[in-house]
Amino acid sequence: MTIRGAIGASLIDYTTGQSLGLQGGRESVAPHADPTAAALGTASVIHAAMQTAAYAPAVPGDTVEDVIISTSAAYHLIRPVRTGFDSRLVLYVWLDRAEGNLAIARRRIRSLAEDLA
Amino acid sequence: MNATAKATRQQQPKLGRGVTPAKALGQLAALGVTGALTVVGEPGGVIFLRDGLVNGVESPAAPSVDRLLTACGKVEERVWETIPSRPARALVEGGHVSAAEIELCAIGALYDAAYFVLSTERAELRFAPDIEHWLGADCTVTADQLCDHVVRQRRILNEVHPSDVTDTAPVRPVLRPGLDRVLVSGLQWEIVLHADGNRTPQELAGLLGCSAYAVTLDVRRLAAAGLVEPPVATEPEEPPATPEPRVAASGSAAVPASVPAAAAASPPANGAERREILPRRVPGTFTFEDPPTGTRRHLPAGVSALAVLPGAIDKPPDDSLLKRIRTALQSLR
Repeated sequence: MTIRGAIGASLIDYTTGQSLGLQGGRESVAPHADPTAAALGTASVIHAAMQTAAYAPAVPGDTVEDVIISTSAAYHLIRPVRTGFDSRLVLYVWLDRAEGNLAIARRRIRSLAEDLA
Repeated sequence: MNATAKATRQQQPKLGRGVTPAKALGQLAALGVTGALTVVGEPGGVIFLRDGLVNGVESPAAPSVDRLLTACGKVEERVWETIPSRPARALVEGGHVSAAEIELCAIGALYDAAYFVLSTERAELRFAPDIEHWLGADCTVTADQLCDHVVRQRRILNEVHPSDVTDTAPVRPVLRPGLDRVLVSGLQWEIVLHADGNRTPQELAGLLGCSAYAVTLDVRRLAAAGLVEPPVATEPEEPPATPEPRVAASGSAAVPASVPAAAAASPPANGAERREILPRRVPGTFTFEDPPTGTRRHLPAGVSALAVLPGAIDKPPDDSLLKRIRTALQSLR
């Protein structure tokens, strides 16, 4: 894992909350004991951000770039992967707050998401 | 290797009637077989196994990898025609897609088709050993993962809107929803734009080159918001009038064309029938009875909601038209 402070990461289909790939082992992939439940939670967070009227784009071409949730111990970064073909994927990265650097991690995740697409 | 293949063949007769596709898939996966499980039914499809792992799923209800890649312009159709069988590798080597893209696309198509194949009721099952998926991609999922995923897909559909009447019926957008404001997702916008009164959610997905499950789900969201009409041809209405099944089938097929006449002839009966099939009202959503359904205009069959705009049907929407619509909508703000 090349993002400093990253504890776990996964690629999630946000229509169903299905995780398509995990990195970091079953126990550490998400802050929840059950990675399936964590993937579902991630799916509902991104769905809320993308479909809720409050975040509807104000200017043409405006889209949700990422969602960052910060807790006292960690950062959770969720970033839609925009593939050329039709897909509904997000990249989720769980970052240790003491070790990780949010700005650098965010840039790394952006290039990761662009590499996938 | 040969011995296991023989053993597999001996254990095949389990696929009798009454066995669900999911159960048969579980049995075949447990044997670690390679081959194709064909599910004959409505909509049906084929599940491809490689050493007991699911390597690909195809269904006529869901767009395949070729459609997903050509619809978005990622791979041109004439390029597809030149590519040999098992094209996954050739596509990556030819620089058309990256290795990650073909895997993501293949797994997306696999899960999408799986919903429809494993939801096929009263299916007839057949297994042909040693047949592999045509794409030749490396992605595999276990049978359990696939079945769990389908269970979740079904649960999400029912959480969004507990009625499945719009799932396979032609999509007919409500012309006058009677709402102050309508918020649709990008996919819902495309659905409404391409719904001509004949296309089912799965046909729209094929046309747009996007996930058939996602379209089915968004049509349910539109139905929950009162933006899509529930289908008028009510199956429960048919059997008592015409006991013979073949007559009933042809009768129900004729119904959509004569809908306005039927509605005008017997409005109370139709209304009562409607109320029976309507889902329970979800708090905070729009109900179909308000405003009364009878006062709403129905889309004639074959006419899009945007039929007033020339060129909106059967062609991919052209940019200038969309820009004009957007400008017009913005000036209304």
